[in-house]
Amino acid sequence: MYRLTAVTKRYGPADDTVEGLSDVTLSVPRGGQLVVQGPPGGGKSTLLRLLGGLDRPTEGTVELDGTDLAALDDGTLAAVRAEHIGFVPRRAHLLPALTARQNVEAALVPLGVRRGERRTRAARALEWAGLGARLRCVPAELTPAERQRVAVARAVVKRPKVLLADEPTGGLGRQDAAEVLALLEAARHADAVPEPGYVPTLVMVTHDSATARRAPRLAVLRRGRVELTEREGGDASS
Amino acid sequence: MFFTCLRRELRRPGRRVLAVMAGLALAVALVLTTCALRAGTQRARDEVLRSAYGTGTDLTVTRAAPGDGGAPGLEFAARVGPTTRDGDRVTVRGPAPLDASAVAKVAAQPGVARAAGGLALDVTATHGDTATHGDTATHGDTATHGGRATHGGGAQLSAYGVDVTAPGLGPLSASTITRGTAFTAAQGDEPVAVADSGYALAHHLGIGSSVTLAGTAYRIVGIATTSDSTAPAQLYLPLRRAQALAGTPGAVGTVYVTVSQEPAGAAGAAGAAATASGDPAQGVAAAIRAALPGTTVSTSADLAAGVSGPLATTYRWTSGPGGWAAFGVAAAAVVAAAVLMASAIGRRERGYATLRALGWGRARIARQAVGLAGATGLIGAAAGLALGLTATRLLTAIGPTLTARPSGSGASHTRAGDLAAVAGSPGDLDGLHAVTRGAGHTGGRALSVALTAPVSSSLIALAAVLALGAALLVAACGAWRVGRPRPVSAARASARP
Ligand SMILES: Nc1ncnc2c1ncn2[C@@H]1O[C@H](COP(=O)(O)OP(=O)(O)OP(=O)(O)O)[C@@H](O)[C@H]1O
Ligand SMILES: [Mg+2]
Repeated sequence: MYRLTAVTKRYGPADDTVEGLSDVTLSVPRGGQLVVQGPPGGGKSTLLRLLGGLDRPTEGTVELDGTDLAALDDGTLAAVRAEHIGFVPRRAHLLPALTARQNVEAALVPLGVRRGERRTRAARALEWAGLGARLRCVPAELTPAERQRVAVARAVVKRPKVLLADEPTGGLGRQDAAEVLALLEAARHADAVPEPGYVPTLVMVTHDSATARRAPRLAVLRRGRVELTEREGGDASS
Repeated sequence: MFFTCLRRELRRPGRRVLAVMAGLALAVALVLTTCALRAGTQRARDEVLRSAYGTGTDLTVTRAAPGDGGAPGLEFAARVGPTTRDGDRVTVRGPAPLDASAVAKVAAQPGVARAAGGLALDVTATHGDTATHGDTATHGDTATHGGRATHGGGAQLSAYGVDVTAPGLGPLSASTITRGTAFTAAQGDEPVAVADSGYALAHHLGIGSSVTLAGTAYRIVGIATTSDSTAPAQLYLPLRRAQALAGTPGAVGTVYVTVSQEPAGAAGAAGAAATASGDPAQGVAAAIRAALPGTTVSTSADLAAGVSGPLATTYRWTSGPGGWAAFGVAAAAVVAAAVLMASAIGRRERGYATLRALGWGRARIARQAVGLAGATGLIGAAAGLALGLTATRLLTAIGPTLTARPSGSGASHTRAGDLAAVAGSPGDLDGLHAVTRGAGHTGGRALSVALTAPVSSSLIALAAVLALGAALLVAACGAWRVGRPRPVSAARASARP
């Protein structure tokens, strides 16, 4: 359960602040789905960074299952990110020196998972993402869509409570985008590889109108202000 | 994962990382080579000094040139001799000899541990019968070799009168007796000689052979070998014999002095002042100068400073501006490497941000960055060590020959001359011509020494410490950089014009 209460995020020095988010209040139930849309500079990425504990709000609270992320110290926050939050950034952000498998393994390192288990879990996640044959490729050898799928595998391999995707299909062709979105959807199905009965909360920034239309919860951010639309029973249909 | 990341990063290092490695390699190799070269030139110079003045000599005392403060290296024609006897002309080499009392006076000065006189002579055949070599010992038929009837005047031999009571002091101490024996204290007046091995080889002299100088046959009792290519003289005689030969009883050209190691508190006011400055030899030198006016007292530092020629130039260059320039370049390379490393870490900022998003702690990320910087530094430094060692090996293997000309009273000649004589027919005095050509009576003969670049274990340790230090600096720069990510706002500002 995510609950944002009166969250404001300001950037820059006191005399020249930019408001990324202004007084945003919203919540997403556990296992629920929120699609975020809005014009450039609207505050979408800011919202996701706050949800992911990568940044702290200037005002307000960001609660994940009752814990205020803003109140945690850096080390604990890192541990929360490691355990509970899976990021799928725009353009994958893979480490160029590592293979696909090692990139996925990197998500398990802060959890203290042993090397052997890391390797098998990473391989399994990549197979699930349709990249069973590309384990040993470095990012430069992969297509952008494949890289994005590695990023999805990296996000789900640790079975986080939350998946945060910031324009995960940005820059991809229509077909590739559809596949990546399908993969993210699949990650939330009860029978998906990560774990039976496991349904992560998904917060996704996307400009894909079909996804937005289907979404049970839609947040449109304009100049930091949120406009919420909820659909009855939407979460079940995800 | 730490090592996996490191290994994979280093497998395809970027241009910056490669440049960091190259910079450190250059720095370490440069320092190593320069230090080795310094040591090598110093060693070569010491060798020259040892050849010229022998070991154990802290000071030399010679007569000062007239009207002169006594700068070493100024020569003037001998006032004594030449004495011509039995067809040989004997000349005292170098400045006019000192009085018979000089050695005793020097020895009486406080701080002087030992003093011994020496006299350098040139023996020139005026009628072709210089240095007649009788090889009775090995052939038994008293076959005599030499230029007897074949040459007129001009064949020259460098002889040196040494104090038989002071072994280990003076020119002969630069050599080791490889065959036979050294002079004994009882042989002060006997017609015996020690031959330099090069000379002996050229003229087929062995133990028991004899060399005739001015009508007297000197029996060879020992063969002396120098470790390098130079020898102070071709033939060593007991000092009193040499003095008699030159017709100058009691006279010595040079007094060789060993300074006692105890702090020379008794060395007088000048001595005390000099002792305070760190070099007891300076104090003793001052005392001798005061006691023996008209003499030039040279400390080993003076003697070293008096060495001229390409070797001296190389020495001054490597231990002076050249060395400092090399160290400066090395320091600049290390600084540049550190800055470049920081920039290389900066370029990985996005990767580190990704790791942060994955929940990697600050310490773990910093460790990764510092590990990369440290490994880069270590690899570069190790390459530098290897490069430097290769360079010094190569230099030593090539062993370029440098010549040097010690100043003043030293007596030396190149063994090359003797070896050249071997090529000639036995007994051909051309060898002697080769030896003495161009040397004349000036005393300061050119010596040639092969230059080496010795790498001592302490130098390797120094280089390793330097390498580690440079690697640490590079790692520290990496740590500093990863701890200071570019402010996100700046990143945004540049991303969104
Ligand atoms: N680190 C930052 N420093 C300063 N200003 C920032 C920072 N991050 C975001 N902003 C500002 O906050 C506002 C919201 O930015 P944000 O990146 O959240 O928008 P967005 O909706 O993700 O835009 P886009 O669709 O272009 O990704 C913008 O005006 C942006 O310039
Ligand atoms: Mg954005």
